Amino acid sequence: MNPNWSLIVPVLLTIGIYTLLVKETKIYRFIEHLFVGTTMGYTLVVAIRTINTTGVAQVAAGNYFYLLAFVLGILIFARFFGTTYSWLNRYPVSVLVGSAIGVTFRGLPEQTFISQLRATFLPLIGAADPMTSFNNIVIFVSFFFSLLYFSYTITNRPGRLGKIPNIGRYFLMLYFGALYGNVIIQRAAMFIPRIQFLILDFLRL
Amino acid sequence: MSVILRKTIPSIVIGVLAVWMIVEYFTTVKFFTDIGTIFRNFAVIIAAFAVALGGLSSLRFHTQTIIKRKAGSWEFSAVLVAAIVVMTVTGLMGWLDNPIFSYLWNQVTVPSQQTIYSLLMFYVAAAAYRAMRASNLQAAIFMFTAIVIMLMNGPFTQALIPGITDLGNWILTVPQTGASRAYLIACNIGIVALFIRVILGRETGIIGASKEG
Amino acid sequence: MAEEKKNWMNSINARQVIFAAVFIVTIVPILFPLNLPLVISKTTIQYYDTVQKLKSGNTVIFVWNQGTAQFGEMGPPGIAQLQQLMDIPGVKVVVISTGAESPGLFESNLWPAIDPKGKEYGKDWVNLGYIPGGETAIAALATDTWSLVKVDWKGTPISQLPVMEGFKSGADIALIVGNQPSSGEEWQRQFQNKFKTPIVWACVSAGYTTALMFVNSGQLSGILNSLRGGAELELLIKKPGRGVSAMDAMSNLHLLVLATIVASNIIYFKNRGGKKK
Repeated sequence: MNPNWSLIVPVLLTIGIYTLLVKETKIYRFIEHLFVGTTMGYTLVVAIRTINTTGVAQVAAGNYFYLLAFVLGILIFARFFGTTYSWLNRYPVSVLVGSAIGVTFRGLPEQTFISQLRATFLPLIGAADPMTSFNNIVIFVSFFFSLLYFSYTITNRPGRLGKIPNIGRYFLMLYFGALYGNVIIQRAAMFIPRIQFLILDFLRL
Repeated sequence: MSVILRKTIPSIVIGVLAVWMIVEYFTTVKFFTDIGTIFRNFAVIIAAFAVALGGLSSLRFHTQTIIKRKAGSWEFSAVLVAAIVVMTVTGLMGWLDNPIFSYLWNQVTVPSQQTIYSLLMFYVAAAAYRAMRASNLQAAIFMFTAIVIMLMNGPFTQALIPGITDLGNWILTVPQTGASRAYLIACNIGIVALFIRVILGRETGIIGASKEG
Repeated sequence: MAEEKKNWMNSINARQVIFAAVFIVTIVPILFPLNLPLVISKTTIQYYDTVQKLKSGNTVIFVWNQGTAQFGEMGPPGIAQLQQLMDIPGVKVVVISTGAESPGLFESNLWPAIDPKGKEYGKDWVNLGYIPGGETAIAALATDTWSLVKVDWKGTPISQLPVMEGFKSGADIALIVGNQPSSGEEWQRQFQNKFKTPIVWACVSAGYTTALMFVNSGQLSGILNSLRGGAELELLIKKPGRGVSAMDAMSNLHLLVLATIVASNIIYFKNRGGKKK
């Protein structure tokens, strides 16, 4: 065994964080504050660099009206100016929100509704082969009842009509089960590289 | 006047920008595209300033904790503030070419962040023990699907259980697809309704304005 | 003595046993790898084939949008994705990040693992770095790239970078290759809706169920399922790395979770049967 001692600091940090599994210790709190601080510092550096590459570069290219964007950008920090002036940050926020809503809204119908509905309404009978027909039927039935589940006006009707949307709940449980299974896979995929780091990179076993 | 400045004008800005972006998409008139481009570039520059907001807020909060000498936490806040300052100063002096910044990024930040999130594996395994019970048919379907998806992803379990891959793929591409489509469409109908409310100025909470202004 | 043993045993709870088991079942296959063959999924093959169809002169956007927390999971797929692009001669690559942590990860963790195969910075590939603003920035890139982007991440004017001659708007892009926690819907809305740009993606496992929907509808031409997809792509491009070596441990962890579920259900039904009596 010939450990790579240049990695001792991240190894100690890793072990210190894993002490949380026993109980919260001062070591863990120290490491937590340390990496949150370094992450925040990194973010500040990226912010300054990005202001340079997006804003300063625009002004340097001769587009002087973008100086107004700088004024609006500084108004984002109006919450630090005290409660009297904190409402000034609504102006830059409204620019951000308005543009984001506009660009998202214009693409949403085709990307979500049209494309997905087109892929759902497939030939139920007479498709390429019986298995494809069966799959198309299952997709349609699953889609129909799951969508019906979100129709709260039907669910509240008395009698048998109100029970129909509950069929959708079974299909949604299938979806959430698949989602949960994938979440477990994701957590495993986040954990294994840390052990690979300790064993393969540090201990070099 | 106060309500106009604090609420009305920001709502109008949101509405105008959103409608402009939408109209621009459906025309080929250069005027609309040029102005739309300017609006988008403005938004990108403002977003660059917004990136700094989290770091500065954190710095302000923890500086106040140090000044007030809050027992049990001011020492940790001092560590955090020192880390922010060192990272920012060294980062502006050369980015990753600065050895101190590079070391703090590669040997402290990245491994620590990865380790914190890796803790979730333990909690998910413990949660599976406590919560995944087939108490009724719906819970059984949930549990069965999760197990099939998990098992089809590992090479050992794929080899051990014949047909698990085909079953898992069928579940994912057929019934699960229908249900997830319905879920996506239902969510997006809600999003569209929210967008319309914001454009019409009926939802001012999004810019931090309450009913009173 | 027997009392002391009983108290010690009582103080161990299921949670601690599970935590210890997670460590053990992960460490063992890393120390003693089984190297079991990996079945490559259909969506990964679709992904690989779509990228391989690129021709010399095509400009590709590589969307690198991962945070430090997900790098362990998405780093291996990202390395495989970018390496595949570098392996294809004549393809120009524009690297864009829409997350603040991404540029640092790219420069210090991703790029050092890549063999550029003779591709020169500025001529064959460029890193535009972090462009804030989310979907608004993506819309700006699609409409008029040079209006938004004046310099690359290092501050070099793009007029001095020949590779940017091939990227003036979304119409110039032959393929978008993404590595992001979600399934890249904003790129579908801004690039694909208008310019019919094909998109291939790598997302975290939790986003895979959503991404499959888009593969099914043809909006995504291929998808990599996080670390597993990355391992499969590593095999396809014949550069096995950390992704492949993680797969044995992946199986073990899944079996452990299955064991906890089975144990939990046995105890539950046993207690329920006892209560009924």
